[in-house]
Amino acid sequence: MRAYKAMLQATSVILVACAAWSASNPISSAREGVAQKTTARASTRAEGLAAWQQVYSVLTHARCVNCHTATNYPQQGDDRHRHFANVVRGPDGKGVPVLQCVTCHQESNADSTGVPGGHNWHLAPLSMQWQDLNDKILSSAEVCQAVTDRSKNDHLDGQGLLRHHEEEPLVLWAFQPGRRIDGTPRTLPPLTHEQFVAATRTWVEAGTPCPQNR
Amino acid sequence: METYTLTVNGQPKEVTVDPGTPLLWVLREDLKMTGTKYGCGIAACGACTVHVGGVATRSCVVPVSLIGDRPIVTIEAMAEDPVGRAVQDAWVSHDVVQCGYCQSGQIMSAVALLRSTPKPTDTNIEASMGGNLCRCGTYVRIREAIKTASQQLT
Amino acid sequence: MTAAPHSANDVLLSRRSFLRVSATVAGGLIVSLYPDIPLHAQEADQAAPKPKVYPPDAFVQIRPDGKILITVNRLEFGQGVQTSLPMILADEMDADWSQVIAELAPAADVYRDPVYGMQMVGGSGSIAHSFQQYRELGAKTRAMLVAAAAAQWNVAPTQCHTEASVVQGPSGQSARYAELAEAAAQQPVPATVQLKDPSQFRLVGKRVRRLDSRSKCDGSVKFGLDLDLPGMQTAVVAHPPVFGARVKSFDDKAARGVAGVHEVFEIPLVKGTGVAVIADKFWPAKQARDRLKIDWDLSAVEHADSAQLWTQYKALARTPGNAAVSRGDQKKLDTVAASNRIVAEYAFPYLAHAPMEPLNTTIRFDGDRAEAWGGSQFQTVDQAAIAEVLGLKPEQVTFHTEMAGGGFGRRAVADSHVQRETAAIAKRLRGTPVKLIWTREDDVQGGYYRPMHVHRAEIGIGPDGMPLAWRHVIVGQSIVAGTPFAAIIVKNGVDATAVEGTADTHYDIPNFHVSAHHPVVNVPVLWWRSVGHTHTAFVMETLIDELATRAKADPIAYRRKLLKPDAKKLRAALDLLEQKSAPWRTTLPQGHAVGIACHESFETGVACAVDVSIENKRPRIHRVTIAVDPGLAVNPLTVESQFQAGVAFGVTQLMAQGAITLKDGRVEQRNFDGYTPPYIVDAPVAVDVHIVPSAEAPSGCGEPPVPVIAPAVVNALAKLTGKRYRSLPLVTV
Repeated sequence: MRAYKAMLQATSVILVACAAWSASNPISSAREGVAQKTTARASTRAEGLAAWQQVYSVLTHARCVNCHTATNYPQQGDDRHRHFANVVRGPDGKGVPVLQCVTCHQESNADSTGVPGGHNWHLAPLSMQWQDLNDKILSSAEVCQAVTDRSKNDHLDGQGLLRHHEEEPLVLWAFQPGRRIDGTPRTLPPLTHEQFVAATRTWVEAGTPCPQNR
Repeated sequence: METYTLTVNGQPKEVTVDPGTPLLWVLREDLKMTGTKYGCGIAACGACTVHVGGVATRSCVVPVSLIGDRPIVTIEAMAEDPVGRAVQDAWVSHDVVQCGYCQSGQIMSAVALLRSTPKPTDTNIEASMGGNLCRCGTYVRIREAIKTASQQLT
Repeated sequence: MTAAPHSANDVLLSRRSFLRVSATVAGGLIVSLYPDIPLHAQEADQAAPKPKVYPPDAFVQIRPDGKILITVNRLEFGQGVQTSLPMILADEMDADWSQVIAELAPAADVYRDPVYGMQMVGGSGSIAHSFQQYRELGAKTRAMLVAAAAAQWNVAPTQCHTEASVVQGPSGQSARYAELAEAAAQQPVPATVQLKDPSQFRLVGKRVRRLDSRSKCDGSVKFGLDLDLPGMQTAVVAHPPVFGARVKSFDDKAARGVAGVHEVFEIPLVKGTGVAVIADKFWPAKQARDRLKIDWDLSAVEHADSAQLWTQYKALARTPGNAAVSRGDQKKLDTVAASNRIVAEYAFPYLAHAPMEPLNTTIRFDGDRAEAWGGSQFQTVDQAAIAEVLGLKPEQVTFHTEMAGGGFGRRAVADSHVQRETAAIAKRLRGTPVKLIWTREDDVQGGYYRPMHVHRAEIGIGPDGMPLAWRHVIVGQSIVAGTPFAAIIVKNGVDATAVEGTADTHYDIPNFHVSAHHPVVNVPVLWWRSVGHTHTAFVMETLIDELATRAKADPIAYRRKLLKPDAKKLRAALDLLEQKSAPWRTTLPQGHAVGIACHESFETGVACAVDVSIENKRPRIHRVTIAVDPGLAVNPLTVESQFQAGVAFGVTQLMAQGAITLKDGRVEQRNFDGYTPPYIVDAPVAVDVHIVPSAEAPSGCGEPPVPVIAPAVVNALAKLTGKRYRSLPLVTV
């Protein structure tokens, strides 16, 4: 009897220790099939990766990726063609004198003329390029690497990334992108902003895991 | 319809227009200032270039409702502006214009360039003037005139 | 002395004289060139027909303040004629150039092109055709001023000297032109007059800056689009999405809901119908048009489709067309082995002119007369069209020629479609002036393009590397078919504007056969700056280059060898080009190549060399050296300007998005984002122009720069990539 009780105690200690260990260690192997329902718990790696795929689907949508180019120009349109009138990146991603982004893009959408607008319209820095030099969108693994690399992402940690996705005006713009010149509404990313933030949160809580395969 | 008080070339101007009206058409039709031109309406050609809050702006795509209290400067004010005058003089001495329709926009763009980059290189000129169309093709002389204006000013 | 009242019935008009002088109410002198018309009805000659009533027609007006107003019988749309024609007149007149101002003549027969017989700008003919005319006007005016002074001083006219608007007598007498104007008006008009020896020119042949420069730099010049009249309304028209289609019905409820919109109604177009929207200003008109719901009947018109047309054209190009030129032995080509033949098929798309100032016209119809304003290359044609729509006679329509923001041929339209639309609206708005504006979208999608073309050339090469036989088929719509020009320009079923530059080549090609097919397609077409030469020069100059390469010959030497001995201007241009490009042509950096092309059009010989490299997958034109023989260069500064800028215009054909395409009847491009002309980055960085010294009669400079640049550039690209470029635009390099 006493041995059985001791064994139970030892087992539960080990179980609790394991749980504590996995909770505190973000880079842990997946615990398949274990459903954890407490609100304060961290996401699993699997959930994190799944959430990342959702985030990736938004980041690589035209409304976002058009300004995350590897080249010296932005793109426009759902077909992501090179922006007309030879506008270029410039030294700070804000264009060049005479052809700054804000030459045309104002603080809010100009639906009467079909020009999108948001606060401080500019290109993402080259460190945040999500395409290659041939305008081909990078893989999920590559974009995840770029986004989580603190030497490239303006030193944002997981919480910083979450805040960025929640609050950054140009991120918000993607979900209210205004109308084209022909009056039709611009295509929206595959998630709403709320869903995007939620997915980001899940991913961040999983420790911002990145897929390993290409 | 909304009423806006715009500051145009230093003067207050009151207009009552539909808020979505591009600044270009407010200038041309409500204020009768036709120096700023309509070439395409989608900001692809630069003929409509004015300065808003000191920044070169394509007035055909900026609704008057988004101007706020930023001062507007147009081609009509360039003769009285030192940089504007130098650019116009260079344009005249190099005989730049042909039909002339794009030149208000070219000059407004050149002035903005020279204000930010008083000694522009060929690369600067090409990048900054790269969005201004001239169907007559006066680009060679535009390059030369910008360099002359720069020399005059520096 | 009070001036005689202005009257159309001047005492001095003689039956044979073609110069009419009248005094103005203000005391100035008006000198005009009048067609050879019968004596005025005021003479007691009942048999003479009553002259038509023209607006005050004049070419020179000397004002009391000394200003000399010269009327230019052309549209000014960039080519500089508003300066060069006054230069010619002022030179012969010995006028003070600093006092010369210029205006554009309204529509009137007296302002017709002396060679073409109608008032127009086109064919690069402004200087070429009016050089003599304006010289005579200037010389006759001077003669009358001198005669007046001589009479006052009681000396012989030959004892007088003129300079800078002053007549000087033999003993220190002096009178300004302004002082003499009234007296000069009473002088008989000389039937003949001595023109200056060219050595006496003070202005002609000099680099004279444009008169309209400052006003185009300070926003003060007014183009047609800038016109503002009291009570004026602005109109836009919804055009059918397929050429010639008709409105079935439309719902204008939302359109009429836009503040400032007054009327919406259907109007007839030259082909089909459209819907006009009339508003206080442009923006509400455009907003309203965007809200129109129009049900179009697209069934009764052909839906042109580029893909289908290419197939059709390429098939046609393999069959002989109507002969344009046929010399030598047709069968010679068949004797040449396949290995010694070039068989080349070329494809050229529709091109829009896209002048910077979109099309527009303003008309006010007052019932028994009308007034119209616009930049037009065909003023009297447009005047007559407006009159027809309004039920007036042409002389009841005053047509003011406004400064135009470019044209390139787009404002020279036989059917006056824009003016007719405007007139239809003005008729309805009787008494209210209306300005019709075509948006850029209207312009890009509105037709009247440089036609699509396919060429198929088969060349048999002789043992010496020179062509032995050449068979050439050209397929493309006839520009003039269905217009009054067809009678002059279409011969034996061949539209000369489709084959010019090939059929009349200056190369000495034996056994040469050129024929043409002119399909009828539901796309309106028009002359695009240099017309047929836009495509023929490309074909000829790339083929010649290919022949030169095969013969391992220098491209300039090969051309020199192949040119006809009497191709004087081309030879002169080629020689000057060789000399002027020598310093750089043989010492290009790695990755650069030279391209050569030469072509004569509108009687001007042009040769050019380009320095090209490939940057960002596009041709980068570092330098163009051009040599031109335009006869006497009236204003070398203008000639240089035309060539420096004209080659940039010619680059339109090379632009990746330099094509208008149609799918199921609809134009696929909408604005400069889809049809993209050259920006500064696409144009040559530096262009040096060299003019062959000549005392021959001046020939044109407006169009001759355009044909040479595209072939020169691809000839350079061919050296860099090894490819032959036979299809424009250059989508990939």
